[in-house]
Amino acid sequence: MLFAELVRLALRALSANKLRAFLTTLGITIGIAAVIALLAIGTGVQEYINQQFTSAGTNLIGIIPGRIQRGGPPGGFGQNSVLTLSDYRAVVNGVPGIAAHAADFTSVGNFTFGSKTSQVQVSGVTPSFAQVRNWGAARGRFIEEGDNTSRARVVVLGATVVKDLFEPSEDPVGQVVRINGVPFTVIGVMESKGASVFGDQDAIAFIPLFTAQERLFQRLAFARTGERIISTIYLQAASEEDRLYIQAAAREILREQHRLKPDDQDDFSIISQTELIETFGAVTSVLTIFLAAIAAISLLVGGIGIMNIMLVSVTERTREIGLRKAIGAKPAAILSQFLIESVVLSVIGGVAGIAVGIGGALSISRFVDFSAVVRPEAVMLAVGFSVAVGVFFGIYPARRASRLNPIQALRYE
Amino acid sequence: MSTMTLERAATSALMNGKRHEDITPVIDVRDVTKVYKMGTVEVHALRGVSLRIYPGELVAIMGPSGSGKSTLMNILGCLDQPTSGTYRLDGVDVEKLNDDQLAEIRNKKIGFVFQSFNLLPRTSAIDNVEQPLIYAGVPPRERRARAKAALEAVGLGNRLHHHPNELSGGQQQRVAIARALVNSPALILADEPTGNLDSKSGAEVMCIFQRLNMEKGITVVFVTHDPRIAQHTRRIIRIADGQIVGDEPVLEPLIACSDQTLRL
Repeated sequence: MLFAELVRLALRALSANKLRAFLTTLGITIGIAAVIALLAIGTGVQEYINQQFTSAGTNLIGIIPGRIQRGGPPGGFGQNSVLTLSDYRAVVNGVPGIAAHAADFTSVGNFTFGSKTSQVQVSGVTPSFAQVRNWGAARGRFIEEGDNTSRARVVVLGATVVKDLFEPSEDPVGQVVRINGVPFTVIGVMESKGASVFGDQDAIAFIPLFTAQERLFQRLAFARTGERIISTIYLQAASEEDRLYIQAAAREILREQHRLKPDDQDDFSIISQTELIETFGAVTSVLTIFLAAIAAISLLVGGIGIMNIMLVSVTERTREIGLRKAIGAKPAAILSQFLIESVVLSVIGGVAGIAVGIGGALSISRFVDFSAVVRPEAVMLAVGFSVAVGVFFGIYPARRASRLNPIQALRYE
Repeated sequence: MSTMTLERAATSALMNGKRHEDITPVIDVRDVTKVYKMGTVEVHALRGVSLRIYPGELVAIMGPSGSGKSTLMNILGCLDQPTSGTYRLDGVDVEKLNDDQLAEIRNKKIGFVFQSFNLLPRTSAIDNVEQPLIYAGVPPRERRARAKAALEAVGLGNRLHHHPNELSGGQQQRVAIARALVNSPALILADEPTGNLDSKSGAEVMCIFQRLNMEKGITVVFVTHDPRIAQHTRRIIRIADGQIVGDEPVLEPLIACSDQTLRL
């Protein structure tokens, strides 16, 4: 018997009892919708995080003092290890293939303007920071080389600082603010990055690196040896292969700089953006799968509903089964008829569930920062799942139908 | 009376008298027994039945309830298999067949007509008639044409798309007859086909059976306990206590068709 014929038969049988068919498919619809929506949201969160990382610049490597244990939360920083300007210069001069590089010295500053105050992170940076981090001034300009060499007291404010210190109508550029009491001229306002998984990225202000070290944080910025301390070295690679090479080469040079013995552990950490993305990705995908698995439980419940209704249907249609056998239906034909019927039920439920799930995910995206992403794999998975549910829960009732004795079935009242 | 009808009558009379060895019987039952086990009790529904029915016959199998006629009918219809003995349907040894082969035999060689019609509800007349052809694997276009022809043969050419609940009892039974004959079976088995009908519809249905038998030479076997039905056939086989107790021709069959065009 042709497949199309069986599907037609199934649809006719189901349309005979539309409310019942609808209620039965509802279980599957809810299950599939939940799976689709959760997968879409999970994927959305993952892509959002990826985007957050890549918006900091691509193929970025950060080097910070101390050691971060891999595979665990950040912690266990070496107390005495620091990075210095000479480390920075050694890496930049010693490693070939670096596309761009920058360094910063970061601490916290108290900002005052008139009666308003704001306490935010202050980063003294080299001018190339804007390029490496892919982040520039929206108004005015960013730090330039001249500012650094002249130790100029100029500052580029993040959006949050501007909001804290100025009225919306005021133009901060050209105003003088005080950081820890030292007057600085505002030369620019950074592009707003908004809130992210890392917190408010706009609660920051940038000044020239040497200005920070010599005029603002003199007591923090020099090591006992008199060397300038660097908080972070940023290196940018041109490609993924370059990144791996640069990471390895930079490590060698820093170990040499710090005079580490071969079996000493690194007293610095090299973090690449790619690795961070992978780590976060692993966490979110585990979470997504976990949530989807919980949602799949409702599919099981829906499947039991299908089985229940199919058993009722086989009993109700005993005479029909008897007749079909009498007019020449083989057991396999009866089996496929009822099996297809339950698969049609669950696939209709599944398709409706996909629509509801996508709709749900999209409407959730309207209320949150990230947008849910429905991947074709998720849709295919959902369709596959609903077919599997239909087959799994339909096979027993269908077998029962196919094994009915035609004589008794024909006499059934 | 047409020449065709004369020939049929002659053949039939000949076969009722001396049976030709070179004609394959449609039904050839030999020493068939059927024993049901009800718990520890064995019920002997059939105790050695032998029976031959030849092509073109119109036969009634009569007997009171519990006589074994339903069991015999189930065996003749290949819905059940004998405990012992042989049954050849149109030359095929039935007791050796498995479920799938039995289904195929029922599909190709037998048309069933039931007392309660057994039409699929919410399904048009033509779709109902098409069902056996679906299982026979006939392509849709041919199916339509053959179902339409079968419905026309039972006088329902103008009711193709009516659903069972839009048809009278007599019309429903005629749809069932069309379904029984759509696959050109060797045999139509009718189980109390007029049992649920008023006398007028019953006569209509009997008329169709007689006509099919006369004009197309289709072998029809009625299982009934209604003597009036039996009087419309040309041979009555009586069964009691699981054995055949009588087998005689009907000398002057009743004619169901009111227009008198049909003579037996």
